[in-house]
Amino acid sequence: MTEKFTYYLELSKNPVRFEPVNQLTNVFFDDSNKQVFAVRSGGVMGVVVKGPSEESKSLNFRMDDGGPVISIKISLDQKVLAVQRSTNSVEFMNFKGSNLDNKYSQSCKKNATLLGFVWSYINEVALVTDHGVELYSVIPEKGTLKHLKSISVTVQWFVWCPTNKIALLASSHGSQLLPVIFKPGSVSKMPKVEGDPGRMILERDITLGTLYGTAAVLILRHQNAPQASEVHIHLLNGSSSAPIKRHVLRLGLSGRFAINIVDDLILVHHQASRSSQVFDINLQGENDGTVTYHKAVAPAKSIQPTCLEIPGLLEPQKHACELYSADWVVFQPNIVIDAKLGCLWCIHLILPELCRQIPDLSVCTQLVLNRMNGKEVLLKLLLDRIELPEPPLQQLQSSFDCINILYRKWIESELQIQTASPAGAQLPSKIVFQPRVLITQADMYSRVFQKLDLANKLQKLEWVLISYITSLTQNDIPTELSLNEMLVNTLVKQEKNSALVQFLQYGVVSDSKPLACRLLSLGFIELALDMFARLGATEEIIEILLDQEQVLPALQLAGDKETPRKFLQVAQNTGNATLFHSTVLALRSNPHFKESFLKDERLRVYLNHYASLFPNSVNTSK
Amino acid sequence: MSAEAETNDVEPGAAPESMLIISESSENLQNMSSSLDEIKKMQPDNQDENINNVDPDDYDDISCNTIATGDDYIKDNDWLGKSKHIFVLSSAGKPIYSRYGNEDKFASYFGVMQALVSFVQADNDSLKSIHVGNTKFVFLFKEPLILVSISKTGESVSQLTAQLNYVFNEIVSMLTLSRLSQIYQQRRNYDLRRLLAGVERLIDSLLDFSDSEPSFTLGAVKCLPLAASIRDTISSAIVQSCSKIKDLVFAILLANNNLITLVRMKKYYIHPADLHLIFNLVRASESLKSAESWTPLCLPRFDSGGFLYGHVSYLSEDCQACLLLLTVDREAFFTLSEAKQKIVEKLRRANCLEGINESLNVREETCAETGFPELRHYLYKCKSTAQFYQPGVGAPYMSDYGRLLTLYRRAHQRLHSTSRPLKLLYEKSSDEVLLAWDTKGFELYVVLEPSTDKSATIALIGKLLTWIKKQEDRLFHLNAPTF
Repeated sequence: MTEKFTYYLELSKNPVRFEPVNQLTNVFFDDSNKQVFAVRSGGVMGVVVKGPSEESKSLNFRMDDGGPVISIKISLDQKVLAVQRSTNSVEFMNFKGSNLDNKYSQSCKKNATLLGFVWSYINEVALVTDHGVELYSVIPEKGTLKHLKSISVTVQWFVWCPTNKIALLASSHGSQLLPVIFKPGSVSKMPKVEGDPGRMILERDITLGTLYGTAAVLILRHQNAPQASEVHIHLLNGSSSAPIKRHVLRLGLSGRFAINIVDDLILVHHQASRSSQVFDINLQGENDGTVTYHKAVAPAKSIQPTCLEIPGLLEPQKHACELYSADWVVFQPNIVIDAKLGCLWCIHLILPELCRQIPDLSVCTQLVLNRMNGKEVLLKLLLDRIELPEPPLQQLQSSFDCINILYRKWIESELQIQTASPAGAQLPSKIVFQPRVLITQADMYSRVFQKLDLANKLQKLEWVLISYITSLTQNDIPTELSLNEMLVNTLVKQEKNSALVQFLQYGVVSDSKPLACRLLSLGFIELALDMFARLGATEEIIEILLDQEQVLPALQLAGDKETPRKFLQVAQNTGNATLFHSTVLALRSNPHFKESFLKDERLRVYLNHYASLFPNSVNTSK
Repeated sequence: MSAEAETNDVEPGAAPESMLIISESSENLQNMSSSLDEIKKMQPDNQDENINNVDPDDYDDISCNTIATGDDYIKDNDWLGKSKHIFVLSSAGKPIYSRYGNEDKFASYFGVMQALVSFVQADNDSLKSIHVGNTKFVFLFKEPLILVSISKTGESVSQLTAQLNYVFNEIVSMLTLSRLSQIYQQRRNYDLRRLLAGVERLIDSLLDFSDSEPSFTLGAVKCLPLAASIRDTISSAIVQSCSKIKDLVFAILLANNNLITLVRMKKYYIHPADLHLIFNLVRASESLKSAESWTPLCLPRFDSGGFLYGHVSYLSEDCQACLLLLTVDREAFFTLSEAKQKIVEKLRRANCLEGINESLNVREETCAETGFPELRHYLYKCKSTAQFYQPGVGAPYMSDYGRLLTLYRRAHQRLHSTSRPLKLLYEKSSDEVLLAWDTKGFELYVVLEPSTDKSATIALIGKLLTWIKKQEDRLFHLNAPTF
């Protein structure tokens, strides 16, 4: 049972199944469309296209015999099939239903050897030769191609990144790496990747991918020293998208590796140890000014074992898949193909399990904050850690800080959007900053704090609340009422009245009218009055004072809007004749109210009451 | 503070000479003058009489046999709930007086009180007071009597002691101190109640009187407001009518516990405490209204050793002012009766009786009526003449004058506390603002609306003192006429 929880990577439960590689069948994978092609006898016996998932509809068609297939890819709009059978030309066929017709082809320039081709955009295909890149526009209706642009450069091999439309062209045994970027109708060179001069890089050591929205070139470097292999990450975010080496992942192993990118985490699979490591370039690491050196966020673990159901004679049999097998081929971003087995899996991250492997809550929080589905995980993680017998308060504090820095950014961008700009002014590009994981005060309240609001956890709740509110304050985020109220309640329940007074006095709990009302209902009348006074809420103070039968202090605060009857009625209800006398006198001597004694007939009843209390007094005459 | 400096000079009601001895009310009786002998020596034809002519042995001691059943009282909630009990007993522990209930029924308590006093006394010490919660047990041992006050009224020990002193003086005023000492020297076990028949009524009245009047606390008397001309006319009428009468020491005219005038023999003064006893005598004796009376009276402050003789009568049916003519001549009744007739005639001719009646019939103005709405009430005591003034009680104290007195007593205690006397007291509560101010010339106690702030209070006091200064002729008896 516990064993089950030690895996934080898993293969998709429902892999794409295809015909395995054998003497008749070749298998191709197109990473642009994530499609697997099972080509029997060069397509004469039929081609089965499956992907990107087992559920998606598979294509079946036959091709004329034209020799062995080197590469086969369908256009991005699924209308044109391109097949490379020779080293100098590509054949094109239009789909008509599930059949093919109208076969046409394009040769590359003379003397050039075709290394491969890619569909860069709809109806645009790029041929990569040892002399450079040739970009053509495909016109399926006419069955012709039109030359768009060429780049002349020596190429030994290339790597294609379909998401960023970048091809990395390698020459001089990989010591020269040139990225080229495709735009509709055009292709252009980018600054070279700075590598160690004179060191060879193999095609399989290069991974192209996207990390946090930035195109990245990941180069596996095998060091001479044992267990010192590194992954160098060049991010294409320098000036004019120049690749700059920013991060180095220290693998601490040597041998054969494969790299996947899942949810912006880099997974490095090591075949020899049959384990995978996880890296996050957004976490802090040793930094030499330009490059950050990272270690795996968690101990290396194997991918969770998986089984395949194989139809048996009587009942389906389970076949345990060999993990990290030599037949595995890894594609970006998260695809693993076992060609012998005929399986295509996607690798998924089990985030809660990964968190379990990271002891430092603060690091863990930073990691989860950058995950797509991290919110639930993080809230649960926080609650779990808080509920430990000795919660790591220090780490909790910095964890809250990480959460609230993002929260603060989000609030700011929300505010900017709501701020009205002057008419006619150029509207600034108002892009909502939407963090992957946004944890608001309401989330914390309902998902964490409320669960701690139990008699035996009050002390803990108090600590955590104060820690969270401190973090909010440090980020200039006003604390919401619910939290303030909860803190007050927590203190009250623990009878920590002096702490409560201090918190209110020094503004740890920020003032608000509802909170003052809450204090009032808890019986802290003086504290409530102080808070109302700080808020300048005169009307409320008057009402409270009247409720306390402190008519005269209330009267001193009263402006000219108040009605004298209110004060007189309270004074009369107290049955305190002295108070009633003082009230009448104070009202009469106040210029605001003097008038109303003459005008307002409704006051007559109070004057009569006065006369009955104090016969023959001067105040009743006039 | 400028207000203080300024008002220091005002000192309304001050007069170059006073008919009253100026002293603190709490002062003890220790240094009593022997004024009477002096007067008698001046009048050699006056027969020296033994005034202590009653032999205590003439009486039987039967009443001592009454059986005490004290248990009845300890269960009597009404009796227990009284806010102030006063007991008088002899130094031997014999009951003499109890304010409430029949003292015979709890004679054992008197034993306890006597035991407490004598136990402490055995160590050459004296028991002043015992404090239990809000209750104070105050003891005054004045040879040969022990006086005890058990009070829940919040009065201070010195105020309660002063009241006990008054009780002692009341007893002395009926017997003289020398007589009292003599009785107990002869028989320690004597039951004094036999001699004090009728005095209990006076003590009851005195206690009620002192509980309901600020004059006892202040040690001052209040004058009936009268135009200065009327008061002078009255004084001169008395002087003219009595100037021929020898041995006449004091002539006092009072009405409704207010002094109208006091004419005195040169060199002799009357102490306010003695005057309070006289006021009490008039207040307590309804019978004086019906006829002229001739009564022996000892003024303990004046001379505790002997009697003065008083001719006491009301001026007339239509003017309820009481005239007392005090002499050392025990045979002077008819002379004084004649003089009284003359005085009444003169006053009637000068329309002074109407003047007095008018003042008696008009209710005293309240602060609000005199233009001080924020001022609820005040006491102003002029120290040099031992007179004070208080306005009529207006809202909100009309039905609760006792609360006002409690406030004044507390303030008075703060100003006159022996350990830490204050010069100025400003006390603000939710019900009222209380200011008490003790200067060289006067004491002022003011109760204001609770909303009055300090600066407004100071301004008001300045205005008030100016107002009193303007009215001083009317409110105070500024001349001190003599025969």
